[in-house]
Amino acid sequence: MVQLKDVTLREALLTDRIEGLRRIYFDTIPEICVERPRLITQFHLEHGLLGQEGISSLDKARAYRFVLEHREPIVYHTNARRRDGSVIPVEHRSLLAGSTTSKYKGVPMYPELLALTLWPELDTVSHRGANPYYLSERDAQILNEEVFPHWMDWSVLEVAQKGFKGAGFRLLQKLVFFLASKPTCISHTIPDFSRAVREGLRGIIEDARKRQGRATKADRDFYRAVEEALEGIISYSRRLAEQAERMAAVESDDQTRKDLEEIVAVHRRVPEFGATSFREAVTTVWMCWVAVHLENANIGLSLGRLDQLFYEFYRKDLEAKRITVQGAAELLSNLWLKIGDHVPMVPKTGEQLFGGSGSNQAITIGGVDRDGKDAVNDVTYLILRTIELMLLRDPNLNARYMTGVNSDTYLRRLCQVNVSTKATPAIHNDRAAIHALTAKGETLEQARDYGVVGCVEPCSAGRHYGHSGALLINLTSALELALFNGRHRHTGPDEIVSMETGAFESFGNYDDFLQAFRDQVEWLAEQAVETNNQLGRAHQAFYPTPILSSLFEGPMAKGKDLIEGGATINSSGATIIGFSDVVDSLAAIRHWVFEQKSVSAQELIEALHDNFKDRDALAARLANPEQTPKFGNEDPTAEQTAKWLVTAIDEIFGSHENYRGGRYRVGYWTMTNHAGFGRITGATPNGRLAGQNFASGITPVSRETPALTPVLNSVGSLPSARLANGVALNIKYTPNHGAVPPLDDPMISQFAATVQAYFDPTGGSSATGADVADPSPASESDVYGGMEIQFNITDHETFMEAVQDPAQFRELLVRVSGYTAYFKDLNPQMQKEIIDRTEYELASGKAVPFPPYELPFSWRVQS
Amino acid sequence: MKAIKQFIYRMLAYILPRSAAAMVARWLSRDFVQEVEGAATDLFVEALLGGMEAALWLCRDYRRNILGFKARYVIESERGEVAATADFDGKHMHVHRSALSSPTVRIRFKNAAALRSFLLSEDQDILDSVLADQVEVEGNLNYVYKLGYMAKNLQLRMKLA
Repeated sequence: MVQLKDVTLREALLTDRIEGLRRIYFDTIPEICVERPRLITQFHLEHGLLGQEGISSLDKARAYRFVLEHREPIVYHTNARRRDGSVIPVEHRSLLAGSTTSKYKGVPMYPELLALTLWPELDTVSHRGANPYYLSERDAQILNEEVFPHWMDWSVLEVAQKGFKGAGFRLLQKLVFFLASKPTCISHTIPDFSRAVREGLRGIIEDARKRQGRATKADRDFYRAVEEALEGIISYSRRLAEQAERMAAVESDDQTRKDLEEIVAVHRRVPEFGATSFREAVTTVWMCWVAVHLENANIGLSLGRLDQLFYEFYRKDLEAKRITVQGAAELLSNLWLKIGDHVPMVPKTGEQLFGGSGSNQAITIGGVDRDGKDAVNDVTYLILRTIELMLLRDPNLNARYMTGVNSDTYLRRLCQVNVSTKATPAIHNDRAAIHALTAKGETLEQARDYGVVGCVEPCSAGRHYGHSGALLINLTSALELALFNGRHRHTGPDEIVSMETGAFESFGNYDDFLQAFRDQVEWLAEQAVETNNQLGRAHQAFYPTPILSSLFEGPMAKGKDLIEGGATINSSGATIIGFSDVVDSLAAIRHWVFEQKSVSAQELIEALHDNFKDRDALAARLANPEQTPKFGNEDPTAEQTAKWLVTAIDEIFGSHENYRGGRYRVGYWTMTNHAGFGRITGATPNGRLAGQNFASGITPVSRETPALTPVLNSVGSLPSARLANGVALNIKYTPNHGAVPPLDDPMISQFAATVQAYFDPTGGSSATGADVADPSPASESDVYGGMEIQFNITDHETFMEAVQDPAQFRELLVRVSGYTAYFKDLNPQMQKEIIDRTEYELASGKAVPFPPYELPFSWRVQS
Repeated sequence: MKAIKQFIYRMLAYILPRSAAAMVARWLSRDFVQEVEGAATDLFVEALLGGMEAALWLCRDYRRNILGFKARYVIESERGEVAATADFDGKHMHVHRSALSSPTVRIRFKNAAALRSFLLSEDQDILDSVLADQVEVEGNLNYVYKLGYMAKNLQLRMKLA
């Protein structure tokens, strides 16, 4: 499978074409595109779809076909916009035709979802301080007059709220309890491109036609929807071919004409028919990707295992000398630029929680195949090399690694790319991830074929519709409700938000308090799940997804749209924010209030109320890892608490069914929400002051874990079967200075050994390949190792310089907590979180001392 | 009195060139100008809606915002005292000093400064306003977004940004 002599592909460099396109990518501001919302609105109005009881899959498919047949076929862009609104000419021509929006770097708008939140900013968004988008006056007028007014009563959120009696939406508006992402998107999944690449869309259409003959009326409509949707994609591709042909006819430059003629030939064949070359396979994926984003909001849709999908085409082309390694690298680099040609729309009000996020389009490489064999191939290394050269935040690269199966060279290369890019790829432990998925009912083959969705969520590729980011739970709110007897400091002392589980001062022992806390978690989960299910039902009524359903395993066999439960595997995902802060808080309460009894319940409550005012010594004691148990230091109290907590949360969410008949799964990745939720949450019993960031993902609290090895051991000892929705462990390393070290450098060896030890702490004596097939509860005690790890390899001084001079560091890539982002795009609160993360010196594994970063005055939380 | 005012507005819109009509609208919105440039007072809501009303009569392109738009906003203080009701009937905006029944959306604010910040501030931050319990919204938020746009657009027209 691996035939490359040099897996680092040092000689593969960016071509002039890619350099030029990449430079424009960094020089441009995203532009809001009104093409989709205008056409979608036009179709819905002309066909009376708004105001009905619901919209069928067939009507939606017709709407998307209409858009695909009427949007402008842009073969390549000739200009883009600078931040000041001036035009930059795009001189280089992409090898891939078409685009997600009509802009070089566009912001697609989905008025069915949350596009209307941008309404107050239509006149100002081009100039806003944080992450502006260019919007012309004419386009603002189109949105204000021709688009937005028609959707005021028909966005998913409004439809879901009508007639709903539960408390969930009120809690949602309060923001401190949980966030539900369905008003924004479902998206988080991986389509199955294999059939489109192999048989072409015409093959799927023929299949749909055959199935109609023996289907019920409802199923027939679904199959007709598949036909409509796929004909739309074929039509768009053909129109690109026609446009390229017209351009070639008048093109005077020989090379450009040749490029255009090649585009004509490729688009005449794919995606309608099966791909016969690497380029056709790449183009098929790209065309399907454009169409999928026309239907589904650009947040978290992921591409899956592209190295597996492309390898055979690459190999055959290479053997037949139809392609060179450099040519393949150029095509992949082009694909990354195309995949990154859009950013999600975030209103100013969302910047605090989601600022700086790209579209989180994950690509997965490596690991094992369905038979458990090494799946690393030449395309795996090509992808690594092109990602290393491009330094784009999207796509978000995730590498799988199976200890004992994948090679040491591969692991070293993953570490080396992390050093050179400073932040990517995230590395996933196959053994733990496959175990987690089989524990939730996937077959071993399905589990082995997992890809990563959005940030870090493992999901059987092309067959699992999991909306992994459905719910973002602020776990500290449940702790707050337990401490304040069903009340929350944010909503005030007079309002019982959940139920009274007892005044904190009344608990005679820790177990009783823990039970109260668990009751509050159950209540919070119930509210969140009920809200998500109601939103899901609104999607079912108004937002079926025929395009995505056509490219998925399950809907064709069941005759059902994905939103109705058509996928082979169904679930919804919750992710927990504030995990380590809650673990440390519970451990502190146990230790000081109930065991040592040196801090009274009343004293603690008063301290929390007053944000530790005039109680500096207490705050310091609670925050001190030498005095108070802390997760990440192999402290038995903290570890026991952490294990209890992940088990309890998984049991609680796992007991709920979603609107598609699947179960809820729990993950621990936070994107930027640990900064956002931290900012709005009061002081906590672990000594954290009001407004301070929570720890990210499943990472221990920053600055409280002086050595790396105990961190890896503590996190790695958590039962992976309870973490099926993925985790993000963020580790910051001090970089070496100078050139990127070679694969056999001691620094890379040390790096790889650390990852290896985290993934397989028993050194290969436990958790063999066969173990992962056994999801029985007994196997929970087996050690499968840590599930995921991701890095920032940038030192404190560099971050401080980047704060002072963002323009000089515009390409500085960071891992937030899941996805990658440009440091300059993050808001100050999130920048502080990354700067303040514990930084370890790789050789010694010891934390490097540095002072905490002071937020700019306007961002400080006034207590 | 109201009918006479509206008649005069309509006449002015008809006879004045666009730029002159905009100047008149700005003069008629002087209370709003004062509320935006100075400290926001209890008269902020009245001034805002008064400014909108004048602009809707005098500026044809601003008027396009309400063609076909039907909604009723009740804006009240946290004590439940109604500051104003803005009623859009598809063609015109009507401002009332009392609560009308069946509002599309009810906006409850702690003080005028909070409401001004919610709708107009340079660093418009609905999230912070909601988190600080400065403003509470009952009903469909999309209507608040539209009102926010109209208020911001008015502010820019009056060159108050």
